Amino acid sequence: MKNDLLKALPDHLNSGVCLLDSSLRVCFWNSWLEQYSGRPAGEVLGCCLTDLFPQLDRNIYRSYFQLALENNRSMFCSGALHPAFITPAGNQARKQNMQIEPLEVEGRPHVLLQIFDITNQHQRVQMLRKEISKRVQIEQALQEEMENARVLHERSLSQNLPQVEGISFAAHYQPAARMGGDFYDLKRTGNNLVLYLSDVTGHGLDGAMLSVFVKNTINCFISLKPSQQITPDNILHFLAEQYFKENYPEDYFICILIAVLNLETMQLDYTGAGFQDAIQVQMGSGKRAELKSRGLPITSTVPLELLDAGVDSIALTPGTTVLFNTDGLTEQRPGFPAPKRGQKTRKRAETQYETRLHRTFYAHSHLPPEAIIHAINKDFYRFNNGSLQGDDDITLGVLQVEPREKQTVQLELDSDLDQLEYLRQQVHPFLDSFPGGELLMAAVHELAANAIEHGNGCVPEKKVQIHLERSDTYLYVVVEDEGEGFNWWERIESNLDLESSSERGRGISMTQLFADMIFYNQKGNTAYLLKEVDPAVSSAG
Amino acid sequence: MMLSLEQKDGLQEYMNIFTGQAASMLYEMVNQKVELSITELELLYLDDKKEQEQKVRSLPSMLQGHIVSSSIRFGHDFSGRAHLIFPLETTKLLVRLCLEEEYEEMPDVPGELTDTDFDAVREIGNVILNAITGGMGNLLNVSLEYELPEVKILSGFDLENENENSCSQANGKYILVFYNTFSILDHSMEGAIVVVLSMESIAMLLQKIDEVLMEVEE
Repeated sequence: MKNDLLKALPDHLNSGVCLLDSSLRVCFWNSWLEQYSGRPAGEVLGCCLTDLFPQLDRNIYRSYFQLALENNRSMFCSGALHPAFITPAGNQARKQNMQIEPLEVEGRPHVLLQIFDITNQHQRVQMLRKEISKRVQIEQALQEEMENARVLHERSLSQNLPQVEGISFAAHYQPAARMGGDFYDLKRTGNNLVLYLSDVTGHGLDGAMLSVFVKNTINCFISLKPSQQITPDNILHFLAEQYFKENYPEDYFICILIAVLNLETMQLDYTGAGFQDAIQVQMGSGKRAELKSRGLPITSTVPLELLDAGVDSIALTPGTTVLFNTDGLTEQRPGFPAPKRGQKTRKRAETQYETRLHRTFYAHSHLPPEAIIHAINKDFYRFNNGSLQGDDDITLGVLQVEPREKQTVQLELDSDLDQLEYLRQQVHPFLDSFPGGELLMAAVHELAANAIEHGNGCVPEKKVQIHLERSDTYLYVVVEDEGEGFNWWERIESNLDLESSSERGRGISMTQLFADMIFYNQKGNTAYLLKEVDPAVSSAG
Repeated sequence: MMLSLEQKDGLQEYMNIFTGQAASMLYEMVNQKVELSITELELLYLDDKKEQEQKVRSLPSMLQGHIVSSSIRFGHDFSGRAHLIFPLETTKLLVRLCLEEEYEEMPDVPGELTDTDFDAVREIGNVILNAITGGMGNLLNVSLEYELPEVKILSGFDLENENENSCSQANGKYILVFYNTFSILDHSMEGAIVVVLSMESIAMLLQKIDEVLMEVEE
């Protein structure tokens, strides 16, 4: 029974089995090989395998057979690297793997060959490769289109905010994905300054498209209507009307805050639709206010008449600072870096950023808007485990009615290091009476030298703009070059070794010693330096 | 156990002979000029876990990322496990160069290795590892038993697993790491051949190397 089984077994295998003696003569040829090659066992037994299949008469196979016979080695030959070892009946193109193993039969060394037809597997792999390659091409094309869309969307964000005497404004925008659904803009029309901040459904292409719709609709309204009709509720109503006309799907909505500041009366009127975050106001008088909006979001499921949330007003006095932000900032809860064993998702902190945001804002609200935003970003970075990236899009804006007491100096330098002497002559008298004036002069010198050398590459035609501003609580210096900028956040906030870096690093490092804050704009071509001072000391100086 | 400079030179020379034999077989297989050379080698001793962790950290970055390992176990008198290791991305390039016809007109496709690629890696590993272990066997005049190679994608070379599974536990394990360069069609790829040996086996090998060195001196 056992012998019968052993004899029958090789003929029932779904692969070729062949036994060769030390002269490579065929001693066994199973049924699979008979059918596959179209050569019956009687025809091949006793023949030399390399005579039957001349493709095997190569040094490489002779070495493999020899290794099996003399050195007891097993070898594997892949169909990917070799043509078919056994010619199939009908000479069809087939792919085969071959396994060569030593086998002792009746005390003499033999070679056991196993042949596996892998043609189907090979074809599947080829098809899979082609499919993957097709998908890679589609993915690449899609990525390219998304990148183009991102650039367009980024350009649609306000590049040049209007310059209004007595008002300063700064904003920060951090999309959660490549493109975002947050949008802000500031427009001047006559005596009105219109500011809006929107947060629409989605963080991707759809969110970006809806944001562009918001921008175009509001811009259209502002440019067509007379000044007295430009009120927050009229803008909101027009936006909602246009939204309904577009017949957008039900699951899309727009949350928006719209404010209009009358530049004569300094009265700020505001309304909102689905905008949860209250505007934070630090009045010049020292009082604080929280401006809440009550309306429902703009969506096709909310009838137009229910959107009317009314308009509230507040009078902004000199020194008043206003914070606007989307809920991406206040609702952020930092996730811990990696899920613990057994956890499917990252554990998140219970506390949202909201309380810290308000605390940070009020602690810095006496500073210029760029400095306030930098302070918030820095604090958020620490709160959010070392990342500015939130789970949702983040937008924040700071508007400030400038304090009455303020002195400024504006300079333009050619990109020539000789201009630094001119800078010293112009700025020295301005800083002379300021506490620590000499050290601050050195810091301004370093920033200007960096801008000339690393920003503008000492190309004389490129200019460096320098703005110095002095209030009773701070000295503020802005140095702007025409260069490509640099990844300053990583260099400064990630505490990289600035001293050892060749570009800008040493200048920044020195400047940090004298200043309370040193930061750049998002591009990295405008440096901001801030030095706070005790009002009593400042006025004495 | 440390390798003397002479032992290092001797081992490196033998390994270059063995890999040279493998290269000529690969040349016939892929119909391209193939060069294999050992550029550096080191001997590591594995004992306690703490030391293993330190050793893992000290391995070159090439052995710490995603790697493809073809390995064979060999025995009896001289026993251990030999691995041919390339970083995953290098393996993809190697396969692509060896299977030039298969990949003709195919753009570079990222992703995992296919079954066909694995088979090619298995055979390349088979040829190289057989040449090395067989060469060592011939040098020591011992007959070795072999298995067919096993191909795996690993996240870093698993020293701990080697210590537990390779050969007898009695006296810890020795690991010979041969850093090699595989050149084909103007491409030069860095990889490693890692041979895990018992204390008895490494002692046998080094004793033989010492004998050869003495013969040369005489």
